Amino acid sequence: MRLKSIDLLRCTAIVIMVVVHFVENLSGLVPTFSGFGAPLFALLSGLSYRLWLDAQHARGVSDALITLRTVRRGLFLFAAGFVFNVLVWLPEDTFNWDVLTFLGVGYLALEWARRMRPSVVACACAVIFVLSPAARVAVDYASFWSSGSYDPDFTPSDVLSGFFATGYFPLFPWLCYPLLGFIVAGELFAAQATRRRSWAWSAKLGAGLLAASLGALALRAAWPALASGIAGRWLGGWTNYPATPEFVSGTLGVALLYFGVAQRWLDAPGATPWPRLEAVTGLYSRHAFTLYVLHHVVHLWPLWWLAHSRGEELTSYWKKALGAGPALALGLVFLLVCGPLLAWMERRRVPGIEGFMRWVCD
Amino acid sequence: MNSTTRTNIPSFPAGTRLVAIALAPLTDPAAACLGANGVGGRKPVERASTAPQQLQEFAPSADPQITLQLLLVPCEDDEQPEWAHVLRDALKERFAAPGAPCTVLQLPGAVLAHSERALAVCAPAERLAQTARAALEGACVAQELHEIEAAIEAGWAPMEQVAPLAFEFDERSLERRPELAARFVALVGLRSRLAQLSPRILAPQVYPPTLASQVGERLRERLRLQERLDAAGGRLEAQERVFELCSQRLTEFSLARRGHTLEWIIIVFLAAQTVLWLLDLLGSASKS
Repeated sequence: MRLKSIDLLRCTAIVIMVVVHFVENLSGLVPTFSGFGAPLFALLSGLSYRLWLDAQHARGVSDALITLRTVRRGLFLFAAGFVFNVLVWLPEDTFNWDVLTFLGVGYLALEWARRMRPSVVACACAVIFVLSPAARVAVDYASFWSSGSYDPDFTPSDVLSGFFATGYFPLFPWLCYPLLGFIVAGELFAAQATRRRSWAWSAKLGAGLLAASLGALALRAAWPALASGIAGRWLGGWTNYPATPEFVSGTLGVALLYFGVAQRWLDAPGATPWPRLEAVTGLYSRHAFTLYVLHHVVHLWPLWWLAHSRGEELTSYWKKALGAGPALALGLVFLLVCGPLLAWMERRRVPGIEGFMRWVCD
Repeated sequence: MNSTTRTNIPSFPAGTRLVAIALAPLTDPAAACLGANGVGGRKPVERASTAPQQLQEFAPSADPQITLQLLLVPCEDDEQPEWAHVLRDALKERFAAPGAPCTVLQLPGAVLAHSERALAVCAPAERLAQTARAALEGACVAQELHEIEAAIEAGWAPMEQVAPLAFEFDERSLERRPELAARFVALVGLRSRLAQLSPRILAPQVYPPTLASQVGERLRERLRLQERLDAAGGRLEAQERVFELCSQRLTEFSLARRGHTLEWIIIVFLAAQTVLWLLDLLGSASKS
């Protein structure tokens, strides 16, 4: 089942990611909304997995085959993450634990989650959420980061620490997103119509999480003393790296609120308020994985190539190549060019990376 | 050939009544029709009464609430054999479903014709009410049994659908819990109706016999109520057994599921503790 609301959310996530990455990697400026793309993607992986699972059940696919496909998809994403790190971010960043490797592990976690009762999955989410700050303290998070970049040593202990707690997208706390997405989708799209919750439930949950986040931020602002001591480990302010409890709660809240509202306007039977917009969001959503990889290649490889051709260090132009305005313009041009390109791919049945993943895994 | 053209009886005799009967709850304040006892929590009540002139007027009612059309024909003993033919043909032609039986009882002093939705009684005027009451009671019992049989018959397909759950129950089967519960309640209801019906069918013969008691007994014999009651009990038991097993599996699964949930929550905490311990170890290794 393809939902317009999910297409809209995924399209929003990829647009945010493209714009943020162009601006950040070419000019060094971090846009204020930079933290919303990856949480949306991660939450959507759980939401979409639930819909995919229901579709598999409806087709009568056996449980063993569902497990096989899920594990294959998870491993594909995990492996694709490493290939992406090596080819796009250069070999020294192989173990930076970017979003693709995280989504791969997320898929494996979803395979576990689908066998559990929602209460167990919710408990796991809560434990991950609460223990993440403690995990960062245990491994001394700050020592792995310099100048806003993750910079570990190539040792087994650092690599494992990055995987669990200190990388760009470590399991603690990022696993909360797909797991919560899976629980929410289970409530919204339950097989039995009588058990189903409405879009308002999702919106209220989102509003509650957002309010909790804003409350924690306000608390920290009102009593700066809270920032030190034990409370300070949990109230870390709004930061993407590390993903503090306020950040996790706030981004989850915004995403669920957005999802609830999108469901209300787009998924109601017969609702087609903006057919052209739906066509565009559907197109970008169907090719989000391809766009994710492609936009990195398009804006990062020229930087590496330019530095290499001038005999300089490969990353010399990273975050310094352009001003924020031209970088933003380039990002928007990339998005505009991709529309016709993706439409052409669909017409000619040229498979993107998603199609390749389905061919390999399903 | 039309039944009316085959007989020498052109029209009903004076005093003939056609009563439309509906089944109402026992608590309904409406008077019971002809004093007949209720069955299955319902009693027959008179909804309408007419004085028909022609046989054509004896026809099924368009009102779905009318479950039985009762025709009361006052006639003398010598006219009764003729009426027996006429009424049997009329019932077969207008009331009985294709292939359904149409029973005619000829007793000394009364004639009865019965089909699923109609009952005709011919007796001398002085014994008509008494005979009709006994016949109506028998017809109501037969109708109740027929309804129970139909409900049991309709239960085979759902039973076959849930039968695999009696062997194995899983997470997805839980979605069928309301369906199982509803079916189980329906079966309990059928069993209860059957239990309430059995004393009426298995009642001993009255001695000394009267015309009314003979009408009831002969009707029970001819409609094979006792055999049908036994058969319905057996079929109901088969369905109950399957749903009983399903309910047992459901209970076992639910209990195990609750236990597993608790175990998994403990496992989640232990895993989190292990990860923290591992991270602590990794942190020490990094610093050293």
